[in-house]
Amino acid sequence: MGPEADPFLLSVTGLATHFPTEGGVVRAVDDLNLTLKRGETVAIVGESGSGKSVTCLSILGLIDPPGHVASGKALFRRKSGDVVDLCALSERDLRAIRGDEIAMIFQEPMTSLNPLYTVGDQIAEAIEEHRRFKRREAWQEAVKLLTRVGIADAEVRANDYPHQMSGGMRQRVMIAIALSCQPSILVADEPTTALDVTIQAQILDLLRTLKASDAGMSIIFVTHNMGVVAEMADQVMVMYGGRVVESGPVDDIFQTPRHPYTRGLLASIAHAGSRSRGERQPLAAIPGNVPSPLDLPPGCTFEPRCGDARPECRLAVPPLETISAGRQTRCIRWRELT
Amino acid sequence: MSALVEVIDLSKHFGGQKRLFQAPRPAIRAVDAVSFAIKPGEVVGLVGESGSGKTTVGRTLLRLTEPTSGTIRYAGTDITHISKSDMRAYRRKMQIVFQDPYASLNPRLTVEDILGEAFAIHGLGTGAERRNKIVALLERVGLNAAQASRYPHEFSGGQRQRIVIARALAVEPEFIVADEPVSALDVSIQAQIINLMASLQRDLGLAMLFISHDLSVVEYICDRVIVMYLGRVMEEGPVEEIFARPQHPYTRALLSAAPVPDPRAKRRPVVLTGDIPSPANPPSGCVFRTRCGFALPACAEARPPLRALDNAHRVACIRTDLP
Repeated sequence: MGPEADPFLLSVTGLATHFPTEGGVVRAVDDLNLTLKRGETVAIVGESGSGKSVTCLSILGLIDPPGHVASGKALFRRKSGDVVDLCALSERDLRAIRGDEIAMIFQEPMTSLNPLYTVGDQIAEAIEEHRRFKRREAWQEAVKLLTRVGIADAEVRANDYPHQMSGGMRQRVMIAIALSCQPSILVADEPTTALDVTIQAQILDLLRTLKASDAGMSIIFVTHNMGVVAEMADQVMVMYGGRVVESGPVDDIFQTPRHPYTRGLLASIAHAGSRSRGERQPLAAIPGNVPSPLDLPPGCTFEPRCGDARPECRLAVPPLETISAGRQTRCIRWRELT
Repeated sequence: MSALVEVIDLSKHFGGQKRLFQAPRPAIRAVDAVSFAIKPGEVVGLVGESGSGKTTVGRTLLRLTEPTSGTIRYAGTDITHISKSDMRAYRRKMQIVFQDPYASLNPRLTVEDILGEAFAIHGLGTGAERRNKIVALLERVGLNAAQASRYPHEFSGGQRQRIVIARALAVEPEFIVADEPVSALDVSIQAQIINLMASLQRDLGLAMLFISHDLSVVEYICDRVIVMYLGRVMEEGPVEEIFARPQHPYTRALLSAAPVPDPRAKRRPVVLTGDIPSPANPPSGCVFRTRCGFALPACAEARPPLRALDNAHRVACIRTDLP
């Protein structure tokens, strides 16, 4: 398919985000590339400190000073067809895009909702902010959105304050606010991590249903849970120590991981096969600790924990190499390791 | 084999006291008439969602919270009402590992002080003996003697949980309550700690109540599983039985809701809708009936008893005709 037929919606290249601290500069994100197409879900998976959330905040222009995007571009195709660099826009121009064309939901909906206003008011406010609606119409639209995100009795529940709702319902409200402006991209940063597993299943199902009915919307889904990745993603980016270590289509990542970290992560998950005839086999744990962002190893960030490491892994940061179309790994030994 | 730990009709209600000039608040029935037993060396998993009462069971069992009613037995002795000083002897045998290793270690004490405190409280060993024991403990949990003089903040989350585990083991307990011991840790660290707990459990013959919402970890480490919902036991049985042949509609829903790390796995339909009802005002009869796809009018009438199936498998559901 040519570039004309399948244009990118978001194209991030060479993104680096730095936070100066007393202990030195934290390179929270380094040399990050990401391509998001229309209707696609890209999952960014990683542990704490891997840079997955900072990547999202950088794209949204929400890095608090003294943190800053040190280099890179984030080209975004607007609804109007114009292509803009999100990293070079003024705060004013960004504001017009954020919440309108790119919406976001976070882990803890309670911190993103105002406790003093009803949820209906908050959704209506978002609608008025970005679309030319009168108050009454905005409220009616809010009720429609609440119904769409699966809240029963939406007309009544719109009058609830956030504290009167459960965690799962609050996340539905956040999704309703995010959808209110028909965004091209939904950035979802660990949206189900704080929820119980049966509620998580409901929210994941809701996001899948919304995406199916709204074919244009793309999702950037940040998570640390490989199960959630498997259920949600079309494309996967695995991050470790601020860098993407592997990326590719979801099936390939799970079937034939090409970076030792991804392989280790998948192998360490306890599953039914971890016990044979009732006897527990030790889990294939990754040894060592997650590196401190202030003290990253000089070469490959995973080298100190990698069973396949060689002395040369310590010499330089491995480049992100292309294995096949759409498939990349940051391991110098990928050809010999399978 | 007789039980090491046994609870009979254990209940813990919060609130509900009379207030001056006001109507009493309804009591929160965090745990409502729960009974089970744990044999020496057995690992029992306690699973359920937030508000199911699983953490309260663990705390009440150790009398870190006083039960509202019911009986707690340790090695045959009723410890429900014994005094604090008498309880100390049992505290040595019953230890707890909490979820958050950042909150459960005193930041002003070195690792040696933290572990030494455990010996001192229970009057175990002399100075030199304690020092040797501390080194042995650290090595047993995968740390080293050189780290004994460091403070908690110098360690990563996984290492801190190792220190918490070492502290629990210092007094040579027979029984450990592990309350979500890996939930706060990074994914790549969780397997290390699970392996450590599994090997300690096996080598020391520890009995364990393993409280978790992570079903795959429970399936891996536990011998038996108790499923709780809204303060009550829904189902109980050997781990293979519960995972291969779940009988209670709630257990089935819980198992099917867990995301599977395989993109080719067939997506299961979402079976559970709605939210967990308030424990201050639980539904009559079966507490799960308001979310259950198999509920009958009779489910609202009486609390379903735990009905014994084969193989020590028990289920609190009146429907015997489920597919």
